[in-house]
Amino acid sequence: MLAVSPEFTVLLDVYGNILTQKERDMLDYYYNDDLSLREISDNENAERRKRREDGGADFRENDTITRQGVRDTIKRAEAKLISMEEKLGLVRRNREMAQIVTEIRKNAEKVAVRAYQIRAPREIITTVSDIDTLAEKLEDYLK
Amino acid sequence: MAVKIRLRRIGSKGNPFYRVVVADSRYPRDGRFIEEIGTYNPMVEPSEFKIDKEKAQAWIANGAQPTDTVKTLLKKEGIL
Repeated sequence: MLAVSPEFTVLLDVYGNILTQKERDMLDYYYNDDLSLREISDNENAERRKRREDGGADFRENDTITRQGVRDTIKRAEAKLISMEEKLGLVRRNREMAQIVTEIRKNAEKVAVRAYQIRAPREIITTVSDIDTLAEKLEDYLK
Repeated sequence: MAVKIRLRRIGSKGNPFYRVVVADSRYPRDGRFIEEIGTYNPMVEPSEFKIDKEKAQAWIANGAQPTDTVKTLLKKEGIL
């Protein structure tokens, strides 16, 4: 079940490329489409059956995946994602940077308001507005 | 034909956001759904679950199956 927490969803967005196509697809179904293990295995088996009927090169008799097989694949893929985050920490870093950028924008706004109130020189107002624009760009990168 | 109530992700990279949709279980992936009855944002603290309570109850009364995830969210809202 999608653990009602966005943790793996975000890890999948960031590190999905290190997974195999199959692992990525299954996590995608599981976390982004909220499919059950049973639905994922049923869909996968229907697809394999179709490939067999079409006479694909990877023809194999009884080539099916069980619900448990899907579960194992998902667990293995999750472990890969966690291990990546432990090594690289990109999700944690992004989150921390996003918080800092939010603080910067708050502060820039405070300065802007104050600068208007005291009729500060135009240069101060445009500079603080530039700071906010730059911080906003950074914020988009971090999303 | 089983009808399911499930989450479906929209929302950008790194920023998950979900629709709560009523959909035919046979076509889970082609984006079609019968009705949107709410949204779920797990990225805010506390997470934000908006649901049309009457529609949810009506669909469930008519035999629509919520997924485990949706069930958990509905229970939290006191709808189930």
